[in-house]
Amino acid sequence: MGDAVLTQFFSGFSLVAILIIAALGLAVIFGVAGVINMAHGEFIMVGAYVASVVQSGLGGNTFWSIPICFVAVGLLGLVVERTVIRGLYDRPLETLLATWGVSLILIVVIKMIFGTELHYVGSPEMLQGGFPAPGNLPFPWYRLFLILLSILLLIATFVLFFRTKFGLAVRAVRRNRSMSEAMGINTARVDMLIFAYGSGLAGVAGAVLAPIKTVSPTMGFPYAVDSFMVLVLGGVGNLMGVPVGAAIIGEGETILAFLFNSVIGKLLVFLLIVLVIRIVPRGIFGYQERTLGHRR
Amino acid sequence: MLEIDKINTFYGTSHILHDLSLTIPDGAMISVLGRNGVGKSTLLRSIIGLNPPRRGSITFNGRDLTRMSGHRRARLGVGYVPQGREIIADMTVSQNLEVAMFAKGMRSTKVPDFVYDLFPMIKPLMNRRGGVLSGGQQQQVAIARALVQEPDVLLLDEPTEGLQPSVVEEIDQIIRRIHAERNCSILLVEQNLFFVREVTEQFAIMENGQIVVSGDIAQLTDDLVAAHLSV
Ligand SMILES: Nc1ncnc2c1ncn2[C@@H]1O[C@H](COP(=O)(O)OP(=O)(O)O)[C@@H](O)[C@H]1O
Ligand SMILES: [Mg+2]
Repeated sequence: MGDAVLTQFFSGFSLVAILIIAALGLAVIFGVAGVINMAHGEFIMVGAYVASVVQSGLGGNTFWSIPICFVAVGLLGLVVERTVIRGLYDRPLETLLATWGVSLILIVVIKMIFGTELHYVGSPEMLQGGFPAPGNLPFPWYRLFLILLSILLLIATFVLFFRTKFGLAVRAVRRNRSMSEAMGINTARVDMLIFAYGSGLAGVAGAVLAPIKTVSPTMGFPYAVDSFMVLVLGGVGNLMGVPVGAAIIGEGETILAFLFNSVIGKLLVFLLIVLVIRIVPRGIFGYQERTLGHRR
Repeated sequence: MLEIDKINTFYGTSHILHDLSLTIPDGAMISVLGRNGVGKSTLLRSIIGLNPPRRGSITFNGRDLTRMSGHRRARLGVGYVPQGREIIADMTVSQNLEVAMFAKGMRSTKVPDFVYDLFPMIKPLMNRRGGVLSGGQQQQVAIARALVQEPDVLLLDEPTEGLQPSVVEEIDQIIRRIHAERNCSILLVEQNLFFVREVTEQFAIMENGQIVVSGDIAQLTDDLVAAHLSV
């Protein structure tokens, strides 16, 4: 039993890593632009389809599909921001509905292009197999790759925000939008670029999910739900909220699903989140001084 | 030269500025006076673009600002020190200055020496977070933030509001020096008449979103003050 739980604990790393990548995108978009993107899960799904095209059409593997999906879904995000979200920034409810509409459209369009049959994407040959680990099963190379990739993207995002002048401007916008505009920062452009960057991260999440999940038009939804929960639990005041929230939710769901079943697992994790936000309403790494309606 | 021609500015449906006109020639220092709520801050917000006017026009060095977005106005040389200072609390003083220079599109974001000369208190505070500074220190950082952008016109909104008398004196000295040494015109919203009379050349008194009297500072008589400014 102990060995089996340990095996589950290791296998939970995959979900944790994917949640870090997916929730990071959601977090930067929400944290900077103040938009809750209901289409984030479908952006992940589009990323997975792009990955399947990269593999079947272009003969590339996951190493290729990661940058290609980042750019492709980033551009999709850019188009959505320019056309749908741009006029709705002051209206959170309308933004929710509009991005939900985008998610429905994406599902329909993908069904039209690819049909409803499932697509399978393989993982790169050098990442197949694994190495011995405590517990019952070997530790797959692909899982190690996911962990390293999620750490790399966390660091890259940290460097972008905290070690570049552009990041300094983004943080100024995040803290004081009107003063930033009055200082000369093109705040609309910052929103657009951040939306594209966060969407690109969703694309990467799709690219790395494709080899381990069946690719289908509705595959993104559960990951979007989990990513939202990561933000609620971890908070968006600090980039650390993402890995901490992802670790608790990813491991919690994996281990509890093994001990009970996946529905009870999700329920228990959900209860845990409710308990935590009773104590810290803005999440573990919440932003205390700032409220949602930051546009004046 | 900044020319404001019959602007009308609204918050939603409430009409705040009514056909307001004002010209600030190059190098001039003009004070805007008026009781609380007459629309002084709204005038500055209209100029910088946070509250663009719905009618009328704002021209700056021959360019029409009226419909221009806020960030482009700052890049053209309009410097803004808002009421309440609004420096970024969780960034350091040096980051607050750097981001202003980056926003202006300046290649170097090294803080120029004149800043340390005008604001000697800033140097030891460079690595402190904006939020931990005193009101007077924040005000100096807010003015420095506008000045590092080398503006052609500086909009100052009640820079001494809520500060202790000794600190007010310090800020007044700095504004005096900016007027004498920096090559920019100044539009100053200020309640302190003593200071206004001493340093500004021209005044404009606002009431109900309009300028009701304006002229050379010598014409700012006690009768005018009693009629338009006493509470
Ligand atoms: N954000 C706002 N929304 C609605 N009304 C406002 C807002 N800001 C200021 N006002 C109103 O506009 C008028 C002018 O305000 P303001 O320009 O701040 O005056 P002053 O700076 O002269 O004290 C006041 O009546 C004030 O209540
Ligand atoms: Mg005011």
